[in-house]
Amino acid sequence: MTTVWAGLATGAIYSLVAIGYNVVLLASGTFNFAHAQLLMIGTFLAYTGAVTLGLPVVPAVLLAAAGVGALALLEERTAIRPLLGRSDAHGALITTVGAATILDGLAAALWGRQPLTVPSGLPDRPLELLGGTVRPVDLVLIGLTLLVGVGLHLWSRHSLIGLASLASAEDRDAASARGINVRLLGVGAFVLAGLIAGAFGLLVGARTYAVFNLGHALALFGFVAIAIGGAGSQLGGLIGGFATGLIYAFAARYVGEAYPQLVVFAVFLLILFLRPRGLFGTALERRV
Amino acid sequence: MLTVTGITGGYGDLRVLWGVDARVGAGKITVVLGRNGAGKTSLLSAIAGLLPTVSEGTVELAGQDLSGTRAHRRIRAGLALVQENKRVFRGRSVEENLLLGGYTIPGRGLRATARREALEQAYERFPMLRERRRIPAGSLSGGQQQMLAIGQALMPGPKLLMLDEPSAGLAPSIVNEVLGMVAALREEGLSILLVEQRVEHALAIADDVAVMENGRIIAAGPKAEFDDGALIREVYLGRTGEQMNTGNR
Repeated sequence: MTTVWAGLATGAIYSLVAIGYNVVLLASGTFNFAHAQLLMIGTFLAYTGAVTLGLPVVPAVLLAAAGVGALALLEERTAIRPLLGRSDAHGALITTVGAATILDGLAAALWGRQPLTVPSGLPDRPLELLGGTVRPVDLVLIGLTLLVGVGLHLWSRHSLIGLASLASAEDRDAASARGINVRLLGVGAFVLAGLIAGAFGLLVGARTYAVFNLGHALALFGFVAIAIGGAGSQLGGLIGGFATGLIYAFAARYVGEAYPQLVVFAVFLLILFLRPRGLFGTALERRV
Repeated sequence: MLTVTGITGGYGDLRVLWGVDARVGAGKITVVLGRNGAGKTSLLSAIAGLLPTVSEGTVELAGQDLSGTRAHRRIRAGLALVQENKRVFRGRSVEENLLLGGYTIPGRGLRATARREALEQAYERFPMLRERRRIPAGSLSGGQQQMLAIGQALMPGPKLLMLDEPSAGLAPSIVNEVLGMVAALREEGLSILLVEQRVEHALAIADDVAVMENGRIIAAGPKAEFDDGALIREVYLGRTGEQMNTGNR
């Protein structure tokens, strides 16, 4: 059961990346390759708040959320907005990768290349739960990720803005013709994804350390989560992330410490072959 | 109700509209005729604020200047567009489609009173949609999707309804039903701009006619001026076509 807890805790982080991808993809039709980097910056801002400035947990979380939200807004303004209305629809694939690279470099320049320990503010002593041991910070991470994922899923189906976001993902022009401000929706999605990534910076950092190349690993596994769950499905991304974490943890334990990545990517390829839209995906994929 | 003056625009560097004027009187139907590629759909897109490039021209709805505003503002001002090919949100349910149609209705949330009232009116107008409210719009028949698209456009109570080939791809019996519905909407006082390939059906309900060719309006006026059909035959068949027609007789 300890393996399950470990898998779920790692999986929660992959779910968060997948959720961030989906929030932006649904509302603006853009795949934000820099989202995992936003989460990485969130861990550093949480470190700055909690350690450098010595803030209590809540202000540190708010600082990270606001900082990453603002950064996401800046990314939308500089990497996405100038491309809108141009016939080349795939420009954003390149500019968001560019944003990711800049964020990696920026983090290394500002905070250095050594991993920094982010204190969660929660007790360190592991708990005995359902026949396994789990750290309190992991339990909170799992719980809050579930809450955010399910909440976003329900919100997208049962609120006017959520429906507008689904409609705009399906057909932007038709959504405009119904009076939906698709641009504002896109900006809002970037900011929301940034706020969520920033708010989780403390919990994620407490598990992974704040390190400048965290984004690479998270982006890859976030992709696997999206492939399993299906692009455009919040519930799918949530489940895909947890599934990826569990596969990783079980492969590490039963196949060998050296093989978990190999097993995860074997599953990834298998899903791409058998169900290219994922388990819950809608037809949002496009040719590049 | 609607006055369009000198619209010039297109897609980036490609111009498809050249100084187009058009108008729709209050409670009237103006039918836009023309061959494929004449610019009819682009004209509706330009009026709705969806054409990528509009370099010149003005759009005025009920005295309000909408030139240069983005699509969602024009919808809020009372324009409604039913795009060609029954553009409903296929993955969403019938009811969600209607609620999205009512996106601009004031009031927060899906349960806002005004939005629910508009939904109820849509169901009264199209009882068939009520029966199917939970199923995805993509699984409706073509005619039902067209009714849903019209229902969506009517949700916010527009001043002017634009329809882009509402009869395309529909069975003949359904065509009469759809165009009958358009005529009935005029009786309710709605102003309508209709692009339609089925010339005879369209003329039967028209008050005014505009004929487009190569991105320009080549003739416009009350329907009576087009009654002899000569100009329309020329536009659709071309001179060669007319001679061929005569030759066959």
